[in-house]
Amino acid sequence: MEKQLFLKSKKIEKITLIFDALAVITYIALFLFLFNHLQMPMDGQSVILEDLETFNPIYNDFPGIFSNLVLNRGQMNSIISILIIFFIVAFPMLFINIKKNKTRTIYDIDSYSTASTFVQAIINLLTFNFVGAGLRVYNTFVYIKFLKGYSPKEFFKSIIPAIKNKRAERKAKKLEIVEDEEVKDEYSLSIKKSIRRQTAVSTVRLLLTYLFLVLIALIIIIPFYWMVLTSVKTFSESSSTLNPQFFLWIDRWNWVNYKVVLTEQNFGLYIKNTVIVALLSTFGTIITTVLSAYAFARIEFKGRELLFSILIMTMMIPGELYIITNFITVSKNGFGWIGNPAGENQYFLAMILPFVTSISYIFFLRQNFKQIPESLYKAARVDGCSDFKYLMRVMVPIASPTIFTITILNIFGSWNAYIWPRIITSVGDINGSNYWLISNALRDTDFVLDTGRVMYNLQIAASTLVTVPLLIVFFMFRKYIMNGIGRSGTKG
Amino acid sequence: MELRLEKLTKVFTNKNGQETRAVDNLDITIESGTLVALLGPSGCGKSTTLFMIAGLVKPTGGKIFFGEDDVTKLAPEKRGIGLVFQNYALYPHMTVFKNILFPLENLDVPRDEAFARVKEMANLVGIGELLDRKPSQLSGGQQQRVAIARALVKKPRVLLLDEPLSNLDARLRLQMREEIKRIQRETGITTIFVTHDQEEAMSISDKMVVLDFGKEQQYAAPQSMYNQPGNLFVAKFLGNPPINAFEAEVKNKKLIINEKPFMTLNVPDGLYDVGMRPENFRVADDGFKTEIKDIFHIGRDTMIHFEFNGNNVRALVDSDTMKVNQKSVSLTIKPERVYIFDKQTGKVVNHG
Repeated sequence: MEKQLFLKSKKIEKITLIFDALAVITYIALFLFLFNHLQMPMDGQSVILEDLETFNPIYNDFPGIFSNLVLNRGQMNSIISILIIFFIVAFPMLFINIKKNKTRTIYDIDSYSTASTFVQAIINLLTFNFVGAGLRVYNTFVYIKFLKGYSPKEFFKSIIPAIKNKRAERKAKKLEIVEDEEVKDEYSLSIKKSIRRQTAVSTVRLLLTYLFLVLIALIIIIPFYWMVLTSVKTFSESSSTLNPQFFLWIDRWNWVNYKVVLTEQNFGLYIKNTVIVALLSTFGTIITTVLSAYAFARIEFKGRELLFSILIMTMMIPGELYIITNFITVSKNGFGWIGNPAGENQYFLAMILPFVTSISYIFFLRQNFKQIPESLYKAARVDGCSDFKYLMRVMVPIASPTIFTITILNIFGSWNAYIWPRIITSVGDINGSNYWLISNALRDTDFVLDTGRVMYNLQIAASTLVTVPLLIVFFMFRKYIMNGIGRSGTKG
Repeated sequence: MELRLEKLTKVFTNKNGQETRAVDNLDITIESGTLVALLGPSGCGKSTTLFMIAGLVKPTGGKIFFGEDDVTKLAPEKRGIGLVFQNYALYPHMTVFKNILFPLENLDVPRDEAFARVKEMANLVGIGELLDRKPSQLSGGQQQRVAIARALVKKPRVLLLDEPLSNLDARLRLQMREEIKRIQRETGITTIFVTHDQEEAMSISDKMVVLDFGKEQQYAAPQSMYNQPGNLFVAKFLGNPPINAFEAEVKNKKLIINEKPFMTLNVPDGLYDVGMRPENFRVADDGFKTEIKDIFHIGRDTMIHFEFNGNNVRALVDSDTMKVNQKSVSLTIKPERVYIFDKQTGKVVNHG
């Protein structure tokens, strides 16, 4: 009976998760649709940045059943903001719930998880995911049945007596305390005093600790908050120094800023460039790292230790020193990928190839490979497994957490790379700016108007675009990232 | 299939050019379908011998024959061997089923046949219902069975076991010992079993090879090796409690222990090493009388420590023949149970 209820609740939860995922997809689709619909003050092909603040279009060209809908700028902003807030709430909830649902056992269900399901149902309701809300409420009652054996009817009937009971209990306790205080034994009084003092001290200590933590958290969070807030302000709001606004209602979040940054300021292209460079260089790094770590960990060859120590020694040289030699390698004196006339430069090659290997990751992975017992290798040999197959079938799956860590850290590195892409894209023809990575673009894009005003809100919107993906990746995989940083030192 | 080692030698050279003869001119023929134990103290070269047979270690000299085939230079996967490691060496990220399937995958066995063989093997070793578990979810004994199944699934010509029981607790060890014996009987596969535990080797094997410093000391069936040790090393290595060994002289066919004659022996005069197993002493009225220095009652048997013409000697006798806190006893030993070893070579000297 219990087991059946548990299985039933699990099945319901799975269906709920499907609807949650559908809701998240709907949010994203709607957001993309509306974001595409956002209008900018155009002058032929280019955007008039000065008019961004006063531009107030009317949106009335929606398809299908929404064809009668007419929205102004504020309403459009509000809808997009709400969609983003819904996404921020629903997506982590979905992510965590999928994780939990995978590992949930019959022992994990308690009154706490029941209550949390109910709270999630309310959240679902607030984010317009009505099916999910209904299923969660239903599941809450399944949990109640599972835990207490109450059917829904009995449960509602039991609420009022339970409250009454609790009240009576509290009353009895109060009476007891009063009765207790009537006994004025000196010894018991002193004990009572010391207990009181103890409670006071521990409460104050707890309070101070959390106050400190909240303070530190605020110090860290406020710049991020300020960044996101500024990125959706209009120019005059963002540059008013006398009376800055710390809070804006959702209809004044100008998402059009992001659209300007992505299209007019070409950040879409730069993000694409960065993703290409990050993925390809990470892909290369993983291949070279796995193969060489395997060679250094398992294959016996002459001079292995010597070669490895030389590689380790290169870690002692600061990375900036390589720039000159790397530059010579990719320039006309070397492979000649850059420094050519317009149209003949191969910027991607020059940005990716020097970084398709990493000594520190080789070292990191080799240590991991070395921990895999030698007898596995011998067993595989006897079973007729080649070295390469052994690497792919046994070593890589066993060391996959480490490889995952390396992947994430490397993508972070590529995302943050500045000096090398800056040098590469500034050499040669004017087309170099088409190959900027986001960090260069942030530094070098022109946010200045003809009148001399710097569009801070747009600049900050661009920074937010760069920072937020990293933050999301960090929050999703912080276990792996901390693991990698902790083990391989701070380099990486 | 018969397995033959001819003058098998392995020399390890370290950085300073020093040579260690891990296996030294080993000549052994292992008959088809027998279970042979390689026995010896640690560092005697038994695992090296096993790995040379497996092909994981290249021999410095000598040859290995599987039946009529010379496999000395053959790669491990082509020899048709199954190898079970001390720590089982199961792939931790694969289920039991995939672990057992792995060797067949490399041999390109057709899917249906491979699945059938895995199931058959799993049932043979008694893990049929654990196939979808990971190795970390199994007990030591179950992991051991998986390792054996994985070694046997490709129908090898020889099964090699490298100290397979040393990671198990005492009770499980007894059980797995019988299990290995049963599996070997049922499959009829030629098996080599490496161990440093003499009791394990004697109980499981049809024949034993005792090695010391890479040299073969004796190759015989367990009981005959125990009763007729070939040399002093084997006599000392086998038996628990260990054999009593001391120096003695033979003059005019009389064995003289510390200038006191003990018994008549048919050997030439000279200085010899003498060995007497503690359990070969019997309590008898017509034996030699001796004071008891120490006495330990251990259930079925009683251990007596006494001084035998100046040598400290242990005797293991039936508890029924002894009283608690007995002060003296009269003991005998059969002449054929007194082992005489040459002082120089350590070889046994017949005195029948």
